Amino acid sequence: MASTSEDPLSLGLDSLIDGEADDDVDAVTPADVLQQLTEAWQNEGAAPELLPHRFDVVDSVLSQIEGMDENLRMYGRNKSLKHDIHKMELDRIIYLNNSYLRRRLDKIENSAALLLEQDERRRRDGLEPKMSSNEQRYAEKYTQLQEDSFKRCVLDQLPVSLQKLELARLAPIANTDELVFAEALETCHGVSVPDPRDDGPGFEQIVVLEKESRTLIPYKSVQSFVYSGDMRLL
Amino acid sequence: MLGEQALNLIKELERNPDIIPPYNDDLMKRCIEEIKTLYQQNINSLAELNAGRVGAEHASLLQARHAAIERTKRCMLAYIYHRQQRLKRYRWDYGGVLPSTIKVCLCEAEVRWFHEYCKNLADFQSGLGESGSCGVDLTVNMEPPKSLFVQVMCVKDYDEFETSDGTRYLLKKNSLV
Repeated sequence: MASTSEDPLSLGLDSLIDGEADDDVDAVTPADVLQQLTEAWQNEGAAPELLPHRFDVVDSVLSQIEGMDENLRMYGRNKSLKHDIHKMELDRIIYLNNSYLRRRLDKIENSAALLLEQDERRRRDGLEPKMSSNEQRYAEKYTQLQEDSFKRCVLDQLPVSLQKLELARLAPIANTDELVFAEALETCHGVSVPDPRDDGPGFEQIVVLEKESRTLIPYKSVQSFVYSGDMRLL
Repeated sequence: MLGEQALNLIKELERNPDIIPPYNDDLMKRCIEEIKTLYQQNINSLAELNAGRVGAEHASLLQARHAAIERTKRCMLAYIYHRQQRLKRYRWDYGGVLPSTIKVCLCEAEVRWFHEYCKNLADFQSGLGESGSCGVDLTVNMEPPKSLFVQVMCVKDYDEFETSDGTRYLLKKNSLV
């Protein structure tokens, strides 16, 4: 007899971290944090560009993983099936977390110089940068590595006027016209959509997306709503 | 023909889509020589143009040579870039140590790049987690975990059986696990 067992999520998490919750994260339950992580992971996978970072969620998840891991070890091996199920749940959470970070790293590596420039601009405009400080350091080092290796292998041996290389210009720009499935978590006003009736570029219609409605829509139209958390991608 | 050396570089990469072919130092040098030659020819032509010794139609010669220079440069950079991407894949699939079979195929700059990349990744990973505690290894858990649970009835004595995550079960005849 074979079965793939799934423990109800809240039961699994709560029994794993009973009594170990920090006082200052009492406002957000572990199930909430996991829900936020799942949403962030899904959004990051569906979006063609790098989204603003959710390292607050990542940090809480990491501390909870530590707690869960310890509880699991203290639990002992008496009831081996329950132990296995909890362990699998923990593995899943770790996988979600790692996959989220890997997806972001991939996007950063693809266009590191361009993203650094964009974040600089965001900071000047008073907005939050998209990359966390850790990721920014990574992007800076990565760009520098690329420039160094290009210089060493090719550019330094060329005549001086040919040595210029602007990585930010060469980085691939995300295709924001790509269609994505989006769900509105709140009623969103002012979503602009390219008008299909008019052939001219830039003629737009403004629509309202009701709460809990799902649409297939160009990413450009919902970008600001995804950033603010009013919509999520499927 | 102009730009043929550069095309050979790209063809070499395409012929071996999965592995990292040995660094073709020779071809790279020839491309650089080609660029330098074209560049020098351009300088001479420009001087002649400015001095009025040749007609204005020579300007299109300049443009053609410059286009060839740009193309060769682009091909060389693409060559290096794609080798780096393959090396990066290697780090994620097999870990941070290069076996000698691969090392032989890389130029010195690439080996240095690989080490620096591994170091960068390690710095990033250790910076995660609260106050840089244990950090996270991002190269594990590449796939969602999935395991089937099975209820087993033992037909024969087997003593101890160890599963993939280290749990031990004592199997005796006719016992249910």
